[in-house]
Amino acid sequence: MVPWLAFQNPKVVQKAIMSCPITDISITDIRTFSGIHRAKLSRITLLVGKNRVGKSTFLGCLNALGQMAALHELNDRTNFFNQKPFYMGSFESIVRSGCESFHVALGLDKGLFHQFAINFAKGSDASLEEVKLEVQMYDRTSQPGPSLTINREISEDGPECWRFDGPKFQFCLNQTEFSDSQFTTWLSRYIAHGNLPFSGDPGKFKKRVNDPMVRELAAFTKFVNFFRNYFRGPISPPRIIPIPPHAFGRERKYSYNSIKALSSNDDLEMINRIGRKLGLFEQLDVRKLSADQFEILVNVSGSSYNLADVGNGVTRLLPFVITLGSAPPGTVFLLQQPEVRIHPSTQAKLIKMMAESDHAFVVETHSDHVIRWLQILIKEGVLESSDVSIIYFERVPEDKSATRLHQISFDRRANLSGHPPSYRLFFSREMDRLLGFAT
Amino acid sequence: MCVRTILDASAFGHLCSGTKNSAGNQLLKWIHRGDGVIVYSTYGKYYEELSKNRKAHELLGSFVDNSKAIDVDRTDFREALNQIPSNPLRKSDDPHILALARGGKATILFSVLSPFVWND
Repeated sequence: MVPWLAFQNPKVVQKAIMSCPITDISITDIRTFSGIHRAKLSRITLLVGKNRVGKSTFLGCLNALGQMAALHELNDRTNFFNQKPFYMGSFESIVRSGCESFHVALGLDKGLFHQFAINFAKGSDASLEEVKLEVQMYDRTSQPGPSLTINREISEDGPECWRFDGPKFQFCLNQTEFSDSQFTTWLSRYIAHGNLPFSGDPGKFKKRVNDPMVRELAAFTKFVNFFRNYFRGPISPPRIIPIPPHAFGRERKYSYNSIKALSSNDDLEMINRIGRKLGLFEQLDVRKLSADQFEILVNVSGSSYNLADVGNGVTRLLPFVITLGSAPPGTVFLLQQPEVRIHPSTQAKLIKMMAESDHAFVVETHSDHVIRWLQILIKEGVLESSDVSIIYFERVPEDKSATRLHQISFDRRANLSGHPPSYRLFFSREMDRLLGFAT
Repeated sequence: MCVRTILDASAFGHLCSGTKNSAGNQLLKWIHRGDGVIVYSTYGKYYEELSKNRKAHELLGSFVDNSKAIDVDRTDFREALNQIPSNPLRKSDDPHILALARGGKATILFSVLSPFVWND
């Protein structure tokens, strides 16, 4: 039984409410983000603003950095910024015009890292190359601990090297020791296998590094101790699931069981309970037509229909319903316009379900209903005001290619604070005209 | 700076029927420009009066939607109502307006009868 299905008693659910595993993000010199931009994340964070102000870029950065901070199945060749559904492209299409590098950083609420930041520059073949990694660890009492910085350095007369800076240690390893790995991939390999570089043996370090000085050997020993103390496993990295705004394919027949393919535990009953709670359908079934052909049947008002014959709203929300049903607690969902093709009454149910779940959500939205229902849930005590925030993306008047972020928060009566005069200006004027006020 | 303003429940209708240069219209422009914000309460006589007027309700809804209205916390409102002293200078047949002013930290009252500014 998952908490969001038991929201008849809000008091019970309220105890299960958690914070967002990602506390904040900073983005520097990416597309519309000129210079450094910081934003705090709440358990439910809304991204609002006009088109072309960087909301999807914000989600793309969050997704990429979240995957890297999880140090999970990293690969040097993978561009995490250019993954489904964000597809931010290569270095040239990510970095802000006129800049030579960009920087992203995350603050994390739990797991291995308290802070995780990477600088990228252009690598060979327009790829992204990590040129600086800064991490601050959590100690064994879950308090922010010491930091480690790895810099990629190229000297004019020597080979490319990595410089390690940590608490009371500093040493360099040239590229021949690590080939051209990315820092994060290198770290993830050691953590995944519970090993240490050179097996933590200063003797092996001495053999591999050309003529290390005693000072470097001592530094390496300190690094090994640092690694043993802080890079411990198993770790619980943030799990991030992006949900695109487009729908589940409305095919009459599928060549594989799409529900099973999308759901990690294939819990059809869980999907059905969520679907019923949202008022989308009464029952969803997968019928096998032949060895490799499947049909998805949706029961609405007592009759079963092929998925291709029911409303767009069902197919629109199906990927989210399936993923929500199988996600482990504490998952961060990145949602792009969940309101698309959804009636406001279903949007309200969706927001309530999100509020009463044990997950975190970063939601790009253009829907007043989404904002309004979060305010209602704050007023009714289902959500704490600190559980919700809005990040308002505003185009900078003096530089139309640049965006600034405004952090908007709520009080316990769901009143907003921190919003600039431009926030809702379009809607105010629209309402004035609708009400017939003289302008 | 955003000045907190009380819109007397009976004055909502005045805004709706305002002509281009009426005081109500000027007030609206002032609020939409970001200089003022309405404080209101969902508690007591003020809200009872507001509830009777559908047009006022609609208008308040648009203010709330556009972050031009602040819902004064009920506890703060009740406390302010209880703290209104029996000082004859502060006696009023509209204690809920005084409570809204204190609880909502408003400095302007816009009323049909006479707009005025006070220093609390």
